[in-house]
Formats: sequence, C-alpha cells, structure tokens
Amino acid sequence: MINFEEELKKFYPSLEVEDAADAIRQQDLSDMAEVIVSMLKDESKRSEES
Amino acid sequence: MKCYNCDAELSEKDYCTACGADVSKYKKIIYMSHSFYNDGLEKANVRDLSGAVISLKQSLKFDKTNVEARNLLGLVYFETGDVVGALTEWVISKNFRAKKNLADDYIEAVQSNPARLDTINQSIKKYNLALHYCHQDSKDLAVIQLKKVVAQNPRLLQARLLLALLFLESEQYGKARRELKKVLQIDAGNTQAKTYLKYADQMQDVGEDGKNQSQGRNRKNDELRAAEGSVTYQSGNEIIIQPADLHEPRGASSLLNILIGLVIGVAVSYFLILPARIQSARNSMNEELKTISDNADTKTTRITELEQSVEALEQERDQLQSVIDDYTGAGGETQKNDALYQAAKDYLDNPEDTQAVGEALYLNIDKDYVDSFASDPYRQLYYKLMAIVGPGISENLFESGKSSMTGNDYAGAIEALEKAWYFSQSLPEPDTEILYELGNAYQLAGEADKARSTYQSIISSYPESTTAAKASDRIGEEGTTAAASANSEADGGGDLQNAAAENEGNAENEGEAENEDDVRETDDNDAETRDVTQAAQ
Repeated sequence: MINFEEELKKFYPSLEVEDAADAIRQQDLSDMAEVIVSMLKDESKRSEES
Repeated sequence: MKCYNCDAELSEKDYCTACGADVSKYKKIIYMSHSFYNDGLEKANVRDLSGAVISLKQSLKFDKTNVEARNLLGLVYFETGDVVGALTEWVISKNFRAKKNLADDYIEAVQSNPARLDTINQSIKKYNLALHYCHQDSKDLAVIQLKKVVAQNPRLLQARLLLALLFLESEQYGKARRELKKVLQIDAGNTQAKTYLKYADQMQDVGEDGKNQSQGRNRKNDELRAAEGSVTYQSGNEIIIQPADLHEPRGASSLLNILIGLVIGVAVSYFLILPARIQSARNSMNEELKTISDNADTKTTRITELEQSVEALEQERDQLQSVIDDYTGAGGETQKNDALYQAAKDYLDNPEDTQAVGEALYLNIDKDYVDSFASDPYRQLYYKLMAIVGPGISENLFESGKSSMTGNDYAGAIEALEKAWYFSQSLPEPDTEILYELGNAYQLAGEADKARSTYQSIISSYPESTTAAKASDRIGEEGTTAAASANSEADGGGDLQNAAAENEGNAENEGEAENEDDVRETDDNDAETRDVTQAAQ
C-alpha cells in the first residue's frame, strides 16, 4: 500500500535555470583524493620533522 | 595520471619517480573513481539512468577532477529532464578542463536554442507549482499542472512520477500505469517507477478477483457492458466501447452504402440546392434585364431628343442657308451689289459707253428691290447712274420701239419699249408716252390684258399726265370692242358688257386732255385704234 504523504516527501522542487549559478557555487567539490592527499602530506611532514 | 606532489607523470610504480612521494593510495583512489565511471557508463548504455547517476556520483566523490564522469553525469541529468543539474556539471567540468572538453559542445547545444530552454524552464516552474498544490492538498490542480508539464517537457521524470502518484491516489491505475511505463522507457532502472507500477498492477489485480468496489468499478462496468453485448478496449488515451456483435461493413455493403449516399446527395442537391440556385440565377437575370431595359428606355428617350434636336438644327440650317442664298446666291444681295458696282465701274472706266452701263443696270438690277429693300447708298448710286445714262438710253429705245411698231415688229417694239420705260421711270420726270406706246404695242400684239393693265397703270400712277386721258379712252374703246365681240359670239357676253360699261363709266370719270398737241395726238391714236379693231374683227 502506497502512502501518498510519505511518497510525496521524496519529491523535491526542481532547480530553475535562474538558480543554476547559485547551484554551481554551492556545489560541494570535496573528494576522497583531496582527503588522501592532505593526509599523505601531513604524514610526510610529520616524518620529516621527526 | 600525475603526481599530486610534483605533477609529474606517474609510472606503474607506487612512488613518484620524480619526487619519490608515495602514490599507492592516491592511485587506488583514482582507480576507484575510474571504476565507478565505467560502471555508470555501462548502466547509462542500458538506460539504467538512476543507477548511472549513483555510480557517477560515486566516481566524482573519489575524484572530482574526473571530467569524463562529470560530463556523463550531466548527460544523464539532461536525459531525465534536470537541465539545471546538467548545466551545473558541465560548467564545473569546464572549470577543471577548459580546453578540449565535450562540455563545451553540450553547453553550446543547450544555449543555442533559447526558446526550448525557456520552455523547459517554464515546465520546471509548473512542476514546482504542482508540487506546492500537492502539499496544499489541491490534487486536482496539481494534476492539471502536471499534465501541462509533461506535455511541455516529456522527459521531466519527476513530473511523470508525481502525476502517476496522484493517479494512484485517485485510483486511476490505468493512467498511472501509462505514465510509469513512459518513465521506464526513459529510465529503465527507476526504482520509484517500478514500485508504483507494481502497486498499480496489484491494485488492478485485486479488483479482478475481489469485491472491492472502489478498485473494481471499471472492471464491473466492463463486465456489465460485456453482458449487454459490448466490448471495451483502450486505444491510446481513449477507451473504446462498442457492441460485441459489431460487424464492420466490408466489400459490397460498403459500396452499396456509398452508392446510396451518392444518390441521397444528388437528390438533396436536386431538390434543395438546385432550385435555390436556379431562382438566384433567374433573379440576377431579371435584374440584368431590368437594368438593360432601363438603359434602353433612357437611350430611346435620348435618341428621340437628339432626333428632334437634329430636326430643329436642320430647319435652322435651311433657314440660315436661305438667308445666305439671299445674300450670296443667284439674285442675292451680294450679286445685286456686285451688279451695281460693276455698272458703276463700267461708267467710270468709259463714261461714253452709256449703252453698256444701261444694259448692265437693266439686266442685273431689279427696280422693285432698289425701291423696297436696298440701302440708301445703294439706292442713291443706282438713281445717280440712271440719271446719267437713263435719258439717253430711254430716248433711243423709245425711238427704236416706235420704229418697230411702224414696221409691225410688235415683239421687238415691246422689248424696246419695256427697256425704255425701265430707264424712263427712274427719272425725276418719267416719259409716260413710252408706257402708253407700250400699251399700244401690247394691244397690237394681241395681249389685251397686258395692254389694259399698262393703260390702267398710267391712269393710276400718272393721272395728271396727258397720256392718262388717252389711256382712259383707250380702255373705253377696248370695252366697247369687247362688248361687240361678245354679242357676235355664241357665248353670253353679259360679263363683257358689264366690263365695257364699267370701262365707259371709268373713262367718263377720268381726267380731260391737257393741251392741243395732246388732243391732236389723241385723235391720231384713235384713228389707229379703230383700224386695229376693224382688223381684229
């Protein structure tokens, strides 16, 4: 049995063309590669210091 | 693949050959990104767009600089109707690789059709409005809006899914199934669509088996129609209900129907349309005839007027022509004027040749015209010439006339004496002897009437002259002679006697002789007259 209200929550307003610029600016562009690279750089610094 | 530390090209080693940095974990991250990209590409190829989105997002989580994954993700978003999401990914992709990037072509393709982009934008706005209606429990309005959205932008899957959900809510499972199937045509792996479709199928199955009125209402209606002899089936968006035993006409029956239709059409045309057309044509013809008749009447009237005008003009022309002829024609004023001018010229050229001038005046100029119609200068010139040439000519002609009388040439005498009198009568003192002699000439020539009228003119015009008495005697003698002639003839001479008596009476009333020469001349003339009378008897 489908619950209309519950299903309705899965629907979100779609972005309009005018909102494209804001959407691009608000994009979260963090990725695993950046995290790994920063971790490796920290590790190498620590090893150099030690 | 490049080193994260020194940006040198990496080899198959786990360390950078340029800077010696440990790149094993970094390489694994990059490989994972590529692996997810490949998975996303496979799913996109089989139209599992939802699965492709998940894989490609994972790929980008591992390596945000994976341009190929980002471009493909943008494509998948565009295919599902999320244009803004697609543009976002392509712009970010361009940011990571400015040149030789497929994202340039994709962005260019979208921006080159601004009308289409605007339509998509409008459809997104309507979708958002429909979603708002749903939250406000205005499902009917939401359905109306969503129908417009899917018509404008058939690839907006979220709109179709929401519309299908609304159809499911209102138990319109057929319509819901239609929308869901269209979603699955675009995105075969859409879990939401599959869930709704399964639910719609379940609910329709429940209606076939169970007694659920709200679910099986359509089915019951179908059964009822089948019981009544009708069949229901769906053709596109329409539900067709037709009798079970309906037979489509084929072959001869259709041809027969066509023929019957043609006959009915011809009959309708003949009885309904044709009379009206004929009447209309007749009316127009009558109108034309009336117009033509009016024009003919007008022209006839005009012709009559013109004919009358022509007739009047012809009469006027004739009158004017006669006036012209009076002036220029034979005997006209112009000719009369020319005759007098010619006579005057002849006299001026040769004053001695009065005979020629006299001839010209006698032949060409009428004295009555001179006295009655001519202008004063004309008359004065005429009488001036006559005064110059008249005496001589009249005397000569008088002598000539008397000579002719003596020689019994009465015709010649008459001619000469008439001429002589023409010239004499214009003089201040005309010689009435010429006129008397003329009368005698008429008498001797047997023209008694002319003789009488000549004598009468002497008596009436010149009563004081000596010749008047002689003329009067002459008339009296002629009356007695006429009476005697009448008595000797078989016919009654009563009138002649009366005429003679009147002449005698008139003669008695005339004037007496003036002097002895005239009396002697009268006696001589009486003797001649008696001789003439006796000769006549």
